[in-house]
Amino acid sequence: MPFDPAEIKPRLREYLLTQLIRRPDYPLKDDEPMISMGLIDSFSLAQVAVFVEDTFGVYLPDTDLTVDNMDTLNQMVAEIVRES
Amino acid sequence: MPEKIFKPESLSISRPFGNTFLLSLILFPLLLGFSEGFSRTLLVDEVMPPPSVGASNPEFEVKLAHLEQLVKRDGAVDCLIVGSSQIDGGINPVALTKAYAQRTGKTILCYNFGISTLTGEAMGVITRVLEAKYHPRLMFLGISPRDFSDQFGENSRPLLKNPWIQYMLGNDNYTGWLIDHSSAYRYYLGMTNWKDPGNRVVIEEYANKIDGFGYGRLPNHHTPLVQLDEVLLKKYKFNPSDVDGFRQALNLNGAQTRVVVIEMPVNPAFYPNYIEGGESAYHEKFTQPVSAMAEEYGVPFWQTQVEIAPQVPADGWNDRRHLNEDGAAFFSTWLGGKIADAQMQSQIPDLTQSASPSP
Amino acid sequence: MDILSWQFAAFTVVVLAIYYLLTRRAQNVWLLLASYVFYLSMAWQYLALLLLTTVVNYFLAWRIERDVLDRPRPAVGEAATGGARSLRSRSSPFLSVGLLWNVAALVLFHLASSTYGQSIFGSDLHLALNPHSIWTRFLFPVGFSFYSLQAISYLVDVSRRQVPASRDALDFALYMAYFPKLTAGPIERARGFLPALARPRRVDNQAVTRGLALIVTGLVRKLVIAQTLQQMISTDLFKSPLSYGGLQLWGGILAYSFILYNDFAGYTSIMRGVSALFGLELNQNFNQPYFSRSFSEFWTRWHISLSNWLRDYIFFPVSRTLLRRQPNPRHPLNLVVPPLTTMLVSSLWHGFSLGMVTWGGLHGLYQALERLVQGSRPRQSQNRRPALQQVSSALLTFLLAMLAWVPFATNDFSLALQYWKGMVLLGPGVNAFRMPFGWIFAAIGLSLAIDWAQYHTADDVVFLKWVRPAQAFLLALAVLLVLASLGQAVDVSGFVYQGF
Repeated sequence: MPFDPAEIKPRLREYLLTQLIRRPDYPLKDDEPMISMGLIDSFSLAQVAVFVEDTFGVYLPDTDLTVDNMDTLNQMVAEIVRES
Repeated sequence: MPEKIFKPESLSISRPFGNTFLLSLILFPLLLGFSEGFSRTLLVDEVMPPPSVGASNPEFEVKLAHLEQLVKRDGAVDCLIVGSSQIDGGINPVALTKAYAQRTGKTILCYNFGISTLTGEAMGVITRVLEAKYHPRLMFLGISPRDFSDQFGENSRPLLKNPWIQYMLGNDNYTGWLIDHSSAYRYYLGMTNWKDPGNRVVIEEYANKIDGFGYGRLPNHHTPLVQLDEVLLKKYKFNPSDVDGFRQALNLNGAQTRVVVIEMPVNPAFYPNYIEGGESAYHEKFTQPVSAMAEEYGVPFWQTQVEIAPQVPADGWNDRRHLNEDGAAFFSTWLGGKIADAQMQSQIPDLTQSASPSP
Repeated sequence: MDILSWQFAAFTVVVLAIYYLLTRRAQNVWLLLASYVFYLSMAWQYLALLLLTTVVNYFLAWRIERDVLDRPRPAVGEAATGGARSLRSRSSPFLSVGLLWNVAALVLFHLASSTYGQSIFGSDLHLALNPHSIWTRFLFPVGFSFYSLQAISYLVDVSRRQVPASRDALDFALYMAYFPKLTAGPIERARGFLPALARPRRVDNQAVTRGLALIVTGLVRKLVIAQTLQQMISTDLFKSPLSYGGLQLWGGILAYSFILYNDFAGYTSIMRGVSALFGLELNQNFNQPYFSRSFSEFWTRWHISLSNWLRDYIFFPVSRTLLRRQPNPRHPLNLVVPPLTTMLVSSLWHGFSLGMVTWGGLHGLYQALERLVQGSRPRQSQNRRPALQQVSSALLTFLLAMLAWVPFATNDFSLALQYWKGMVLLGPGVNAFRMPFGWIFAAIGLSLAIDWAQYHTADDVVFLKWVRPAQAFLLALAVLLVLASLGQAVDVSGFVYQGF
């Protein structure tokens, strides 16, 4: 049974802000581009993938870790739901 | 079966389409026109490499390009001096015109069109082309025995096949027509040649060596001259095609353009060894026949080997046959005075008076 | 058949003319035939190798899929409980066979053309490698490096169930052989390309205009900029750097940076334009890389299809595996090994030489150092940094990338060292070759102008949005410049002042 996005989003947001962007108070919008604006890069995406595996038990394929699928928080959540 | 293969519905072009392309077709000739206009200004030479007539001889190209610039800047040229490398490094037009001005109080514009390895055959062609294009009042043919030998001319004879030269001689061809009528096309050819790194080194060497009046200075040096006692022309005889070319040059002599033949001097110590058989052979096989041909066409022949060559300063020679910078200054000064004298004796027209309309 | 030839232009026009009359299926057949003819025009050996590669990978994918489908998909959450191991257990031994087949062939071909290979195989190989030998063409197949990566990505994606194994031999063969991307990419993924082949194509006004605009832009980049710059630098600058002055060396590598970029970006643009006329979109391969403000950004803008392939099939697997062993992302293992491994693989893909490895190693180190310098500081969007900071970052990135091109250009480590030494010492040099800096800067200026127009609109055919007279003028100017670049020089290089 696929995950509920409402469960994923806050945890993912917290991880992004504290571990990757390292600005807990940053007002990250749900549709704000992160990869294309340089907020996160390929190193970070690998970390996101491992976090998602460990936290939600969902494996995100390497070929899905692209700007088309993972640029915004909404896209990341949709990807997780798709792969779950 | 055909319906499984043919179904022309992929391409879906609707009107209007192609208007930008059509507009560009109109703008394209305008751009060409602008390029042509720009290429006829003096500014183009600040930006572009020297133009080309498509010849595989960079020295010829640079000589022609500098002549074009001179004419563009200063108007019609009064006298052209054509010959081999002996002319190229042996006559300094600036020194010549200075000497002329000192004698007459007037100035003339002369250009040195000496091309290395030039022989009579190419001289005939080049003089005809230069006369048709620039209408000089006076054309000097600087000659030497090797100009009539088939052992020389490897760099200059191929010029005869150049499309532009053929066009100028009356053999119509599209390429020649385009080169002659389009300055932009000449700069395009020049740029194309210049872009090649191997070519560029050679072209720039010539462009730096040859000054704005066509003079290819040979710097003074103090190394001893060699091969003075080695015979250069063994079993010497006139090559028929070189004689034909020389006659074509002589034939230009007329009311519009006066032709004068100048014997280019060689080092006095080398002179007896120039032609096998010594000085008598030189006189019999070269001076006499040239003199006779010149007389046939009513062209003065100014001989310099016997009287002028010994007066050239001892260190005025680059090698046994070429004058260096000092030697050229001396010889050119003499020539400038000689022109002034000939003018006063009405042997040649007064170059400072306009005759026929300038090109 | 050279893509910059009237034969290729005529070939494309003929193929297009018939293409537009056909049904989708017939179009694929026709394109496949045309692609094989195109490849055959280069050498029958190339086509033989392509056919073999196509057949082997096509059937291997079937077997891989069968093995993978036989095993159940992991349940949700299984990844968290030894998920990585369960994922690995889903792969098929035929995947290993396929990877070995493609990688071994790549290694063999690269080895054969490298000095190391020739030292290994000895003079026999040298003798065999005469241009008339039929075996020579087998050893240097043009385009193999590109379509073999496509084959590898296809097999891996099938094993991961990212894409179903194709049951359409014709479409798969076309995916491998499609002529606009056959000889030098872009490297397309089956996941996107195979469905595109299965869809009907529609080429409307916009597609044709876009295709032609890409072709014209590509011709300007390749002929007017890259070819002109190539002619401005000495032919043995990278073979005998010690004989050149410091200024020449700086000018040379600056010019080379733009030669490489415009030549490859120009080629890709032309091929994308041609493909657009067939109604098939090829991925963008360059995105104004010299405006990058960091190396992680650079590698999202330079040779994008290869960079993405390396990211997906080398960087992420290595990164994720190391993060599992060492969860601290700032550990040197996680900072250094993934980028270094990725760039070293990239360098070996380009060529088996110490020069290439040095180039790749430098880029790997640049990325690791960038990460190290970033430290634990908060991240900021590049676009939100002050303009001066962005410009200086871009200049620094370009400078370091330019310096890294030296071993790439020399393809030799010791020559690269000589080159760098010459750049630092700034000596006068003994070679009289004079570099025409005016023309070099003019060509680079044109390249930057095109890049700038594309960069700040994020549109590689931004010119199509200009008013019609401006578009028409630009088109006329582009055509004039391209025609002017086509002239053949008369060779006067052997002309030495004779003095006769």
